[in-house]
Amino acid sequence: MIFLKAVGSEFLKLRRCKVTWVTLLANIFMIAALGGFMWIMLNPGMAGKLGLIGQKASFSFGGEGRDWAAFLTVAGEMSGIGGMLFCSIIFAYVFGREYAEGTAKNLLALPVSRGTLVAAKVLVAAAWFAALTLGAVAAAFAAGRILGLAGFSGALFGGYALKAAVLALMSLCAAMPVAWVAVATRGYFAPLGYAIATLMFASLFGHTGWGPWCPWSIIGIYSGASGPGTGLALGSWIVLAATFALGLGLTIAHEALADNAQ
Amino acid sequence: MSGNGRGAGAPALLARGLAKSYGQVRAVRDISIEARRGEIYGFLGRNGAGKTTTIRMILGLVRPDEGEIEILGSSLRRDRAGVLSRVGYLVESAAAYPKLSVLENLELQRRLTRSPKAAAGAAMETLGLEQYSGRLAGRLSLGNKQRLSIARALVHRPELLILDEPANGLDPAGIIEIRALLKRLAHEEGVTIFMSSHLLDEVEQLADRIGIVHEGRLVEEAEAADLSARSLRSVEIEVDDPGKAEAALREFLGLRAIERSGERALRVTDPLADPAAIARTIVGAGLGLSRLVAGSEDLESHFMRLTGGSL
Repeated sequence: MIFLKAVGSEFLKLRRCKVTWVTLLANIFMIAALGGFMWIMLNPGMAGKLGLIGQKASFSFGGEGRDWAAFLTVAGEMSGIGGMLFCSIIFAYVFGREYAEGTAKNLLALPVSRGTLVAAKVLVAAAWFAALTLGAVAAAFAAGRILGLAGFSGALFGGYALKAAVLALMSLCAAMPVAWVAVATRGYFAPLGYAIATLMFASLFGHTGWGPWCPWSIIGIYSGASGPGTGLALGSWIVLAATFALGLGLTIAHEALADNAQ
Repeated sequence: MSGNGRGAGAPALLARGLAKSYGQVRAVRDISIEARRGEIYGFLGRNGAGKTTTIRMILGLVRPDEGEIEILGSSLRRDRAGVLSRVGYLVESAAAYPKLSVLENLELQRRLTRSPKAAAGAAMETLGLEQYSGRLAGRLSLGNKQRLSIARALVHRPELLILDEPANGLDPAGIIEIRALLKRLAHEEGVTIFMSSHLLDEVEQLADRIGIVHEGRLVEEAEAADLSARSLRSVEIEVDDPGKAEAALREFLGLRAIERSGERALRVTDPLADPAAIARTIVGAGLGLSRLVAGSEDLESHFMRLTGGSL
């Protein structure tokens, strides 16, 4: 089946790519840094000695406890914000590289439908992002164990893992238009700029009444980064699904209809 | 690489009335091309003449504003995937995934063209790339990158091969090798080759038919052999009385394109200029003829005259 061959080819293209390892390590580092902050909070007096780092640690866990529940709450918030950025980087790379490396003309003249090619890339990007999410969840477990945090339970960690998976899915939906920006502008830079702009929008709308309707703010609301979680209305889920559909549709339409004069 | 019967008898490539504009720029205006099966079609034009835009339209990378394209008897618009499964291509510069090896790059093409497992290795062998099989494409020389691109075009054993500047980056030995390969593919295996090149002597040596494109229009299309017959002939003569000689040539032979090229020299540039008839006319008019040099345009001069300037 040509779709599976296209997916296999997209995985092959990731071979020896440093970006895959850089994103994985950066994602794990994010959780490791959070573990470091928790370690500072577990050692009274350390925050004051460490200056700015100590202040940041106090800020991260200021209102929380010093146990698994607190650690996983903040890890979940970070997954929401960091996830969208990582997902955007992945989409920018998977779609933008064909133009940056001059291979788009070869790809688009293959006897394979453009929709199939785009779908294969989306699937591989999703698999890559899923691997990052798994890495982050595993890193959170390892960090909590190393720190010897109190209050671990399977249900608590399972809840965090589920939240991380849902946040990953939400990030995938919200970041889908990045693929369209990458193919429309033929490269990496504009989609990365777009991703940074969406983070700014997320922050701007996250604390307003428009947050539940802004696809990038919805993730912050669900993760708790925009304040105490209040759950999401059905409308927010529809907005995310519509953002994904719009991003996917625009990407396929661009690849199918726009001139490739690279 | 013989045809599979679909569209047998139809031209390998038939483009009718192709036109494409980018904003105010009319890149291609009413180009019609017919490449017959098993022939090598040389597509010549200056930079910006519309060659690459035409090739991109043929491959479905650019949508024509007007016109129709049929490849091996099937409409590109109606059956894009079916048509392209029978076409190999190299568009403009060589491109490959730099972090993948030569074999892995060819493997990608093999998978997506549903070719047999041995196809990537066979294409590598055809282009003499076996020794670079495991080398990353990003570390290849320009010439070997070009070989890799041609190998990629051949992986699925296409019936029509579209090559944009195939000699780019190749050293003289490489050019001779690729020339021999293309001749063998066309004349022994029946593959139709549609190639653009800025190397006029390359096209002259390879092509069975030549199309010359200028400012988005096909200004000439002819068999390579006929092109020399159509080319302008020139006869240069030195006579004792150029004025009387010119009058005699105009009166008796009906020649019009005669110009002074020296104090006692005339240059006759006319497809009808026959050196023997000119000599007989001059001598018959009682004039002294001290020198006669006959020549004809090569493809380069012909091309330059048609496209009005330097390359």
